[in-house]
Amino acid sequence: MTGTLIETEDRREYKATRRRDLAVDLSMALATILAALAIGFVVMLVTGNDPVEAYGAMLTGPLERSFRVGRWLEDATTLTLLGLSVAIPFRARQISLGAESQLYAGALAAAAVAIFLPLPPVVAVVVPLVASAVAGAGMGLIPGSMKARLGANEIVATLMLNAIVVRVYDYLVNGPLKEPGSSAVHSKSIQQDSALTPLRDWFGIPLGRANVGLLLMVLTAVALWLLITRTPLGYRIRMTGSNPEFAEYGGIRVPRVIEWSFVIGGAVAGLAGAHLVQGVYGRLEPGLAGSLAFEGIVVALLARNNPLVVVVAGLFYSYLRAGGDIMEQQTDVGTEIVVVIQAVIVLLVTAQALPDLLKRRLARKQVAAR
Amino acid sequence: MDRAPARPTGSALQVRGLTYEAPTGQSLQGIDFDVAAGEIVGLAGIEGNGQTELAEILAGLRRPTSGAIRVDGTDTAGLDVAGHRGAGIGYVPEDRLRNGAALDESIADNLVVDRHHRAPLARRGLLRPSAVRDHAEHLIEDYAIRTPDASVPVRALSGGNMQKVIVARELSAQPRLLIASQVTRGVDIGAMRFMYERLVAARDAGAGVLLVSADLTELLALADRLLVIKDGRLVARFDDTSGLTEKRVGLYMLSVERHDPAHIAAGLEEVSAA
Amino acid sequence: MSAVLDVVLSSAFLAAVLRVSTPYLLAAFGGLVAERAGVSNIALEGQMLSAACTGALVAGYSGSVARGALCGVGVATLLGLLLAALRLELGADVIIAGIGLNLLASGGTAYAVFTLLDDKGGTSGLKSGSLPAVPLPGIESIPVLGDALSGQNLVTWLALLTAPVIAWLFYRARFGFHLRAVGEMPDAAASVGIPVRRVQYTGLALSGALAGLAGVFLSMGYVSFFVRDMTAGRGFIALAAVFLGGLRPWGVFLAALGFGTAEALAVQLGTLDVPPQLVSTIPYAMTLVALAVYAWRRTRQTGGEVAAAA
Repeated sequence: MTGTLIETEDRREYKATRRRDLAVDLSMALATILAALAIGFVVMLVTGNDPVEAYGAMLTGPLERSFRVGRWLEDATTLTLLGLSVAIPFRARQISLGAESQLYAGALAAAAVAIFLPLPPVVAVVVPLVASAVAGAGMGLIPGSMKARLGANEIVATLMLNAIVVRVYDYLVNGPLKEPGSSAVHSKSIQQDSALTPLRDWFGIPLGRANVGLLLMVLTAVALWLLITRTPLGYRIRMTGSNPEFAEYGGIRVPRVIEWSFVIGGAVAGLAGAHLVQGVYGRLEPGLAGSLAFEGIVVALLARNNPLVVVVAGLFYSYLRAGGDIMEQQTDVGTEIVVVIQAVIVLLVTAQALPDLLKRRLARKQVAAR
Repeated sequence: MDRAPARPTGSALQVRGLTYEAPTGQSLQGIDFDVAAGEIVGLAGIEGNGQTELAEILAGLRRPTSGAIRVDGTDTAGLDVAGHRGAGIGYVPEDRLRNGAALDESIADNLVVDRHHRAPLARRGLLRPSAVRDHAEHLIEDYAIRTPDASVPVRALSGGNMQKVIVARELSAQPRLLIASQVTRGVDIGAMRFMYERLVAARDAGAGVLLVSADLTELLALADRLLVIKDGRLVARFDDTSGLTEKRVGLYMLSVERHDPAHIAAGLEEVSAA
Repeated sequence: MSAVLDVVLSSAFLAAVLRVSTPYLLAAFGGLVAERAGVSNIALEGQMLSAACTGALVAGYSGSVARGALCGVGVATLLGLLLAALRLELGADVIIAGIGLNLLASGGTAYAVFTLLDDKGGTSGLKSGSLPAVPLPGIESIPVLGDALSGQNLVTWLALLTAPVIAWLFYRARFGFHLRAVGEMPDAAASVGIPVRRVQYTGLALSGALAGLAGVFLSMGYVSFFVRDMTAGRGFIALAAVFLGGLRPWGVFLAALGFGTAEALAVQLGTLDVPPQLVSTIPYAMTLVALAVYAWRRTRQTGGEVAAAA
């Protein structure tokens, strides 16, 4: 009898702890963002700018006109896909920094199909998307296999691969794939049928280059969330990330799981490349991705590698980026301050001990209060 | 520990001519022994004399250099860890914090590592969270694991409860051979007693148990037969543990005395290496 | 082909190798010290960048090259300490913290340059001067080598000196012994009374300082201005050199020199009729192959099964 009483008591306390931990996590996320913005505020103040005006432009700017909203959503689509692409290997505790090479491989594959292969409607959209995912996956498989089969450091391997692929891409866009007769450096445009439908066709308001890729991104996030939480492979990825020796002991083929995590991540990064080609630019441009690949890592980290949260983090992060650009147009403050703010967020997020410290203090307080 | 005499039936494990050249740690040489279904065989020895290596070879975590291993009649050569488990091996590892559990994952997830891909936990390629949860709640009750919820991370459990999670997982797979290494290390008395009862119950249900322990009292209380390992070789075999004293076993552990190899291998039937 | 050989065997090429290798050598040794202290320094890139920017700005505004260089190295050292503090005090993941610091450096330097000079590109509008070349008396008389060595920058000499100094530090000095002990077995090191934290802080500070010197060389060695993101991934290449060199001083020295040679070669080959982008992939492709071969050899030595779980 007393046993069950103690158990219900335990359970109630556990649930309270869970609720409190969730509250702490949420408020820590909010506090982190506010702290980073505050640091940005101080930096602007010290460097002789008007932070109030700057933040005003940055935080309200992206919503002021519908095409700015479109710009934000278009950026968020690519960024979130990149965040999702690293979240999966991160879940397996593989520090894959290879989203850049995977994105460019995906962009090249999508462009090759969308420019040169005549296909009937609908198929013309799908085939390049598939091609980009396959190319990205292949680009993920290289460092994935090197890590899983040989134990080669994945950080170094992915960084080297990035360096190689970026240069090859640059060569192709400047050379063989450059549009003949054009003075500017870019490829031929993709065929009309291969373009991802712009959102303005649906809503009838100007939304810039935002397109159905947004929907594709949300679907990808849901699919990856299901993969992680509801499939045996997802379970293996989680266990491998949590304790690889335990996974191996339990009969999980750890090398294979590691490879899969790279391949899945690569495919998603490849899709990000396809989104840029088929949805945003309509062709290959030099330096297509800019610094997005690395910022995808930040987004994944902010979201603690939870695919659904990555969408929220991606939207938030892109909002800051879009706001930063508007801020620079309207005030004297450089858009780089946004990168500084982002960096501060990363550093605060990775300072794990802070929320744990808080949780423990709260727990102690609650015990004392009894 | 009260227990009925063992009623060994078929063979759970046959090890013949097992050698292992360890890159680091203790190598093994010419190991021959049997574990019958329905008996507990104790493996005594001062730690670091090859027990870890032997247990991990039997569990499929390391590959032997040569020799034959049969589990319930199945040759395990060339099988991976999952294959070893499929052949009927359960393993309670000596260092539960290292590879016995994923500490940051839930109890429920820790209980399914070897079976997450099979019905009823998974169907048509999808995990069934409700089945995983039911499975966990069932084992939590069965093994009296003290926790408010199956979603609690294993890290939050006491040593004894953590070990119960591992033992629950390994025994609920109904292994033909359970390798139990240092099962009661860092575990409170209540949990210790509980483990002993479970090991004997598993034996009586027909499992072979290889009990690896540094605790001679525990070995003498539980083992139906006893082997002693020293420097990677078996140096003694006692087919009757009644009347055996810790002091006497200790002499073998320290190499003061040793049995004739012929005695250790006596009566073992021939098993051809694959 | 003979044109290539002529180029490669010339003393000008040798001089170029030393010049190009300098930042790799310094940053790689910075990475090595940190790695051996048990804290991977992914922030090498950011430390170099911050040092390069600070050096050029301080030198430009104060008119003193030495002050600029010192401040540059100082900032990078502080970033090293910050990384150590994030890791040791706040339990941060070193890799993520490193990425964060790189981001901070990239954004911070660009913001500073834009705010101060209203220029998005760099500090070319600011006269900042460069560190002196050091002619060694008598060295010109050595054939071929003399021409290559004479007139090398002060920092290049320092970079070449770093190898024996680090080797001595690691294997002969007390601090080096402590550092290696802390990196390999922190618990054991603590139990014999080695002040683990202090050793790690010192190691990370030294690591940052070396990366800083590499950065200062970039903006004040042969040019006298800072360009946005001018490190261009050198910090990461240096990190690759650390692993390729097998975490040993002379191995790292050779690996870094190898990267320098490959890059210098790529520049030389660029004058031939080969697309420069493709030529410039050579050092990275070589690294990738070397990484695979090195890992493969290590896997074979230790027996394949263990490596997968590590």
